[in-house]
Amino acid sequence: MPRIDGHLQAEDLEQYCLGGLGEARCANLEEHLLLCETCRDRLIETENFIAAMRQAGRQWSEEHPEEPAAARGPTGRKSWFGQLAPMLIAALLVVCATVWFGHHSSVPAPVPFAVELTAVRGAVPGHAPAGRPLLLELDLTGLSDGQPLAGEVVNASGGSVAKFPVGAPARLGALAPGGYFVRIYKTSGELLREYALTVTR
Amino acid sequence: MSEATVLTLKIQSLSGVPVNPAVEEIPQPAWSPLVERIHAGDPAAMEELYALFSKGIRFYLCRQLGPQDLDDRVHDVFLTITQAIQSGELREPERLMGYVRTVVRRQVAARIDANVHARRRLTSLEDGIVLRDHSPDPEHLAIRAQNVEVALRILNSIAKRDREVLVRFYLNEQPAEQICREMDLTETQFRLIKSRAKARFGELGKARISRTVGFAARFR
Repeated sequence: MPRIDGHLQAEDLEQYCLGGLGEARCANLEEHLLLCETCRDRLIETENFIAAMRQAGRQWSEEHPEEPAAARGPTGRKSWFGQLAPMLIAALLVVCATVWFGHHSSVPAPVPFAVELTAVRGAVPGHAPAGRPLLLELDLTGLSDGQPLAGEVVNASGGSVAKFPVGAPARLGALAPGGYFVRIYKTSGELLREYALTVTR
Repeated sequence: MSEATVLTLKIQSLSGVPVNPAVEEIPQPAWSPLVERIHAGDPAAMEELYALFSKGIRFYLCRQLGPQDLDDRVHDVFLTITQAIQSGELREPERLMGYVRTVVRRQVAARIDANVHARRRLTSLEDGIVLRDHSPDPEHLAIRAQNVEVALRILNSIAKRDREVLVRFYLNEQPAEQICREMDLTETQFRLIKSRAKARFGELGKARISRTVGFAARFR
């Protein structure tokens, strides 16, 4: 009787959790997981580790802004240069906005709010503030089979709000407060995945 | 074989087929003979198929859709698979595992589609917007908080450079190549830092569980 050769590589499990596996490797991994309880347990451990390390890293960065990694992180930018940087950037933005205003007389676009959406249960649902453009980062684990995908944002009653190509993080205009769903379709129209998104004031 | 017969056999297999996944290497049947036996309507073959795949299918469905109606969903998947085999739709028996995965993924997509349509019907009857709470239950929240505490202990106890690697990779989501290049690390060093942290996470987690069990045992 043929046997499964060993178990999944830790790196592959980690990449799967992070959504970084191509379709072929993803298919092999998921087929192995169908049969192997050891690797299913390892996948859960890996997921727990990544989630805990991400949250702990965020807390660490907030508590230790002087650390180099924290200075590069999205939450901590308070090294001596980091403390000055916001002021410098703000000043630069004011200058740029003034110059730009002189030429175009319209309001400069605000910085988009990054929203990470995941389709796995138990993960934190997507939340975003109203009135700001959004940068949607979708967890496409298991969907990257090479076919082009299309994205759509609908409101709670299913009305289309926006459409976008799937691939790089998608930029959307500001949304009004309320409940939304982000859907991923094949170009043939088959619905593959849906993510909940709550926009609040 | 009729659909009703298949359903009966499925219920029988639900009631008591032991699954033994604790072995280090799982025996993988030669798929062709198993498929042929299912095609011929052999109940033992269906039970064998169920014993092999049921836990994995439950795991995948639960991860994607949650625990609600899980038994029914697993049942639907097996019904689809056995019907496909019996009607000769599975043309390459050796690709059975791939076919099972495809059926499960379709089931997930169909469930999402059904949820979307159900929500449309429901929202048309109500004035407000109803969104289901996806927050984890208190037990999971407590476990998650303990995991974060363990991870923080690890970050506090390791070298500054190792900590930077972990924060860059897991929090800032920088690619491994970039981290290795900017921090002058080999790929092996990079992997070692991660695997050491993960091993420590496992050790501290186990120690925490054994302390909890020991604490509980004193009150029995």
